[in-house]
Amino acid sequence: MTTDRTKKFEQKKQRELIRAFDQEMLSLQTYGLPVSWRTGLHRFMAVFFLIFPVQAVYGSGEWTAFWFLMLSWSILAPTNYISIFLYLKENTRLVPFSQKIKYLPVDPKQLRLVRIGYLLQFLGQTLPVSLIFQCLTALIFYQTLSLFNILHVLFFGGILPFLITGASIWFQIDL
Amino acid sequence: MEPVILEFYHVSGLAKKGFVLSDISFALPAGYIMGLAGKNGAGKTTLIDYIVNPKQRYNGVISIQGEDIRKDHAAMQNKIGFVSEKNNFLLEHSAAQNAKIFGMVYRHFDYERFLSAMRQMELSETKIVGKMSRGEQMRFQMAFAIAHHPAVYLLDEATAGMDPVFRIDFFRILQKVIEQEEASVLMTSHIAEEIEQKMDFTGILTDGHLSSFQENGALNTTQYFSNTY
Repeated sequence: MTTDRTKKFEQKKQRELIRAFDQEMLSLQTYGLPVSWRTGLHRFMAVFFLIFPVQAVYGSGEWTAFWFLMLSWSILAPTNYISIFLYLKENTRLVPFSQKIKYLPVDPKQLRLVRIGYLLQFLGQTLPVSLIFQCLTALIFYQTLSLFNILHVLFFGGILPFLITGASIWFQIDL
Repeated sequence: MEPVILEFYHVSGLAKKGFVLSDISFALPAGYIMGLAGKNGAGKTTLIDYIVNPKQRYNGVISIQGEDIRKDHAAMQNKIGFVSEKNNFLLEHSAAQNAKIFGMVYRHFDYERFLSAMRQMELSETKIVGKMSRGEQMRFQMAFAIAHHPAVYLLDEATAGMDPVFRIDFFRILQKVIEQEEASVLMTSHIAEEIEQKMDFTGILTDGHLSSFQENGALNTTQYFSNTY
């Protein structure tokens, strides 16, 4: 019991260290735009296409194209956002983060959990905003709101990006 | 009797492809330097990789201070000071910046000790890592390793590229550190004089097998090198 508690405490401490380490690494990296602006842009990307009410394309010929666009876009925004925690820019090349910390006392499982945490934080901020805007635009332009509006946002703004980007994080951390 | 810091117990590689080690056993006590010699491709770097790389698959046990390194490999890295060309630091940033960032993840990293070690290594902490020569990078890595108080130093061709004058100082610093901290050193080397004069033990690797492990003086390294090379 005590050993389990000690282990959980150590793991929590390691995650805190990793977050502090990430902040220091981010402060040294140059991305063209400041990190906060980059993050804002990714949040905008994540929310933008979810604003359009599904009633606008339901039943029309653009439905397939719309779904394909949503599929790509819902993965692109969070993947781009999380890439700053998976790759470092060095001499104009992108170097995997895991390569730099390969010989450090960093538990790969805790590292992955921290990155999944950043992803959840990102989606946790964009999903409610997308939901509010989807509902508002459906009510304003179509005077109707269905369960489909909500499921659409939950799927493309939450479930799908979490599964795909989360799996990508898990496999890209090669330690 | 000094405590054993690093021990290999019947370690044999399990990789299906590529080079594997075969039934390696030795014990390195605290306060000693062990040299690993052998032809190119004999397995010297591979042996060190078995300790530092958590993805290596093998039978047998590798332990540091009595603990199997596979039990919690990430935590074990706290006890290892690794100096090698493979070690990756941020090339576009200074030694000081690298130390401050990478030192954060170690349990006992001492930044003041790092600065002191850099002075002993005759290196400026403001120098950009990517602009250092090979010898300077090895010295920087050594200073970084000293700063986190490891139990074992693993030096893979660390002295290649060092000027002969500094190499004398390097071993003096190394000896002082391991005596003070009850640590040990395992290092690979191609330099016969270094193996004969600086190592307390020498292991000779031949095709992945430890063909000899003896105290220096007992092993005629000159004869070995003339026969091998």
